[in-house]
Amino acid sequence: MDATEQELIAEVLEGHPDSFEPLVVKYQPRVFAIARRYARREDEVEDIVQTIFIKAYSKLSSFRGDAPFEHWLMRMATFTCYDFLRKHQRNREWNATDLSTEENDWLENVGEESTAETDRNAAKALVNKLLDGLKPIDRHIIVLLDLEGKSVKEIAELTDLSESNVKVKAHRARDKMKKLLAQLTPEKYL
Amino acid sequence: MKKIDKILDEMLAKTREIPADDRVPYAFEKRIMAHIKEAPAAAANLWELWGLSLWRAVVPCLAVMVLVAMWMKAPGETTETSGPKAGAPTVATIDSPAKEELESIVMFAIDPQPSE
Repeated sequence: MDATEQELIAEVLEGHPDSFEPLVVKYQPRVFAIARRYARREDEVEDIVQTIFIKAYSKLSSFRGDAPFEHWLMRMATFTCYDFLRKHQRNREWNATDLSTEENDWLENVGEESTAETDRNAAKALVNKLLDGLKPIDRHIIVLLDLEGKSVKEIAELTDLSESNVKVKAHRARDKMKKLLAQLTPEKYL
Repeated sequence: MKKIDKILDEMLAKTREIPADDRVPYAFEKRIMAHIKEAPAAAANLWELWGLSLWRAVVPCLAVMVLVAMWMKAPGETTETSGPKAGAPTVATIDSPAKEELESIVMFAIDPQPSE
């Protein structure tokens, strides 16, 4: 951890809240990137990021300093994002909505080499549609494993699940995504 | 289902290729700092509100207390009236004999001169 970061944290704990601002400035891009994986609307993303930093500030005394501050903050960010999912995705029914032209085109041309941004955006839109149909914990695991590229061990630590349980849940979540995908485009893929 | 497997894998791979969207709204840190600085004040206000609401609760609580006291008094009156009513004959109560005594009386009635 940077000496300056350590100093800033010590100052905050001594009762100088202004010293927290450089930490917010430094880490807010990463926290925004994480929050955007879980919430679609920008106002929701901002609320999540705000909650993360306020929580970090109020629990700063529990930061022991044996791991980097960044890890501690990102762990808190992940927990808060999962809380958001649990609160907002409960009782939400998944509806197979019509595909956009870009999404249909992408599905038609799967396997063809393409670096076009529209292709990637269409794929992302489809993934988001499928993620909406998953249970919060399953979505959380797919985001961490398949989108953020975290290892099973890291996810187990972040979610308080065993590694084997993470693997099982990831497998089931992917199966569910396949079923949802088949529901979106039944005539082609069933 | 093989085709679906392939589609899902490619879909996830393409999504991973998109760089993380780490844009930050203008002066967002100021908003956070404003919330952080307001937080202790908000906590103080909460205590103030709590005290105020306690004072406001005094009158309803007193009213409830009076009502309960009145309600408690009403059954008390009925217990007083549960005694012998005026003009009713007074019935003397006879102490019931002890069990052994009763047994000996019954035995005496059956056989007044018990054989030795």
